[in-house]
Amino acid sequence: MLSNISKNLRTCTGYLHKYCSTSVAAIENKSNAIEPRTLAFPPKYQDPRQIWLESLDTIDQRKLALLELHPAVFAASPRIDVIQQNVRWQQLYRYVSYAHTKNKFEVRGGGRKPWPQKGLGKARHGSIRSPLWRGGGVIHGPRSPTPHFYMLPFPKRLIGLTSMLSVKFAQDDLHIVDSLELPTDEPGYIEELVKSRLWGPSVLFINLEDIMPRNITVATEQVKHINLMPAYGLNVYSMLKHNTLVLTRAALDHIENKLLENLHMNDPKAVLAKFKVDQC
Amino acid sequence: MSNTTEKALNLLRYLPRVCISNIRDNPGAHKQARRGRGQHGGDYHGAGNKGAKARQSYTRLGYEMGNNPFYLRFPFEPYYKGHHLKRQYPPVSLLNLQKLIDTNRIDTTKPIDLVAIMNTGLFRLYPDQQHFGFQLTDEGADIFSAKINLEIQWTSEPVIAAIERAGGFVTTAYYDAQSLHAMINTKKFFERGIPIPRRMMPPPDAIEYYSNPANRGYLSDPEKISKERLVLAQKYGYTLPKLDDQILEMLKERKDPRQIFYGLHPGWVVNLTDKVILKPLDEELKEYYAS
Amino acid sequence: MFRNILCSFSRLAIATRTPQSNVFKNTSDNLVKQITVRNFSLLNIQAPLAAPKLLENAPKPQPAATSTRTVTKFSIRKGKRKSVKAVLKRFYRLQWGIWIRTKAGRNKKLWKKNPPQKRRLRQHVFCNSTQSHMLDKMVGPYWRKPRYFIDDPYQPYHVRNEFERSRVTPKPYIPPEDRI
Repeated sequence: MLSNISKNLRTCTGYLHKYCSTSVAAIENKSNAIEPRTLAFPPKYQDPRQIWLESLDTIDQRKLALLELHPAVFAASPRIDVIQQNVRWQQLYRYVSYAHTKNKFEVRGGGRKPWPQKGLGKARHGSIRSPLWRGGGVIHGPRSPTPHFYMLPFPKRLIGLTSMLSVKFAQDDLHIVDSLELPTDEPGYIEELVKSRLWGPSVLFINLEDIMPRNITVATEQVKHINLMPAYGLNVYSMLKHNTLVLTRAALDHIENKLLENLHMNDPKAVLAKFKVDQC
Repeated sequence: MSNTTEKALNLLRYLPRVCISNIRDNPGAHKQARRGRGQHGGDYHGAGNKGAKARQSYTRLGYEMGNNPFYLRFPFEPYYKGHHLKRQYPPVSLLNLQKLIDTNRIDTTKPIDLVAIMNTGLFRLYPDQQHFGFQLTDEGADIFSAKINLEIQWTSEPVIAAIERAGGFVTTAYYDAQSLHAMINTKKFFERGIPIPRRMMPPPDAIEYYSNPANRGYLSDPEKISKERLVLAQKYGYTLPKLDDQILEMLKERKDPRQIFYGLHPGWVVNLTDKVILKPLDEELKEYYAS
Repeated sequence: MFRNILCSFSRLAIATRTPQSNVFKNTSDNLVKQITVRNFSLLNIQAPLAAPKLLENAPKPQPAATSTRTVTKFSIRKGKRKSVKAVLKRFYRLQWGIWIRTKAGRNKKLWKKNPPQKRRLRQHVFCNSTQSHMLDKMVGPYWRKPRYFIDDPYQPYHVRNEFERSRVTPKPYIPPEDRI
């Protein structure tokens, strides 16, 4: 079944390539000192992946350099099931159900025995609010407030992030920019940029720090589908929700190093321990 | 060369964009937790009709309907007498140690102590369960061949012989519970911001062990230890190997009886964020920590 | 150095408390005052000694000793499972799941038992699988944790590497030429 899909889509991708605007000619000269990336935990058995370093200075795409990406982070197995578990966790851990049903003690009335035990030919009952009765209490019904908090195991959250980044990279939805500096603070500029580069309607910009450059902050404030996020806020749900993911080079270094450090952890005792609210 | 991952990633290039609406978990991963109501699933909810099982009114565990129950028939035996007072030493074998050294999990160019073993992340120690460190067992004593400066909490004679035959040194040292907590998770201890405490002296029943040169105790006389090395070499039939000067300096390094970490003295405060060590200046404090 | 250690340990010694004597001390003070008022001078000296003696020999009220045999699955304060002490006084758990016990009657009527019988009675025996399972349920998880004492007489019995089914550690590799 999947081979049929791939056959049909191959014809579509032929057209896609025609409409991609890739100006290969405009590569910056190397004397501007764009340093190549050194990968932590150099990959032994896989080749590093490559990605263009772009800029937001002009609306047209400008390729500054080729950067290398670690395969353990950007070419990891695309575990869709783990991605789904991460999304479910992100949605559920903060969810509180306020659904509430009354049990037989809470339903109004029902203290008196409705009729004598014997003699009437009717079924014996002790209260008109027992669960057997219409209007009676509910047993094992929802009891408000019910939290659905749980912690997804640390390795699953880790693999969720690496899978998602790999999926974004494989589907050409990942872009690296040198910084988030824009020439103007007009929202029109950034919208035009996103449109011309075919970055998809929704874009998520990831910066290393939470204090972002002024122009991009002002420009994207009114545009709801273009969002800014610090590197520590990177999560699977946001990456899925936005069509394109744009990382700054500094953010890329930070994220890749953190993920690789945790993938190669020697002593996972602390992260595998049960989550305790008063010790977070 | 294409493996499953590469095939999957190549396939993704031709598939629609992965988004929230087209992902799912593995089939059978989630079972809806719903209470059965009505004829099927509800009614008695698998508990059958009446009886103690349905009404949760069982007889207590071990009860045998009045006759003398099994768990009361036998005489007392002090199996667990004093179990809460005895010290425990989880075992680490010489084979384990050799494997750690061979797989580069432990650095033999530095002295090996409890901190080095805990840093491998492969062993756990629980001081609240009366664990006072590790004991080195003799499994793998005939194949042990690494020149190390080892500090362990308990060991036996064949183990000492095996390590010294290979050209290393062993010391047995006592650590109290607070020192152990500091050594097990050193980063967490430093983040507390308290000065490094003095290591406490061993309790009365342990002093004899740690003052005995035959056990290479840290409280014993170094001259007597070197004599014991010769005695052990003769007993087990090996010659003590000669050591290079370079390695000898490292192998000679020993901790003070009040010291917990190599290179750090009691009373110092280690600041990890500013990467600074603060030492006490007050004479009274210096005297206290040096005593 | 050792003197310092001994001094420090003496400082750490916990003083024993006798609450009963404190109670009687208070009452005896009152009685002493009464006695000194009523009696002669000689007895005044002895009275403080006499009065406490009277009360010391009085029967002390004690609660009736009751044993609880039930297994508490959720304790009132902590919500934890509690162990049945009767089990821990009579049985010992080996790490591979079996419980051992002594034989009943090993100290009784030995004069009429022949030596092989007495030897058999001195031995410690296994409990069967059902009994071990029941005893496991009667004690908390603390008693199922491994213990690493030095010179523990039961240390060789916590692991069964003699049988393939219950091996814990991998078999040591012996090259074909060294095998018997």
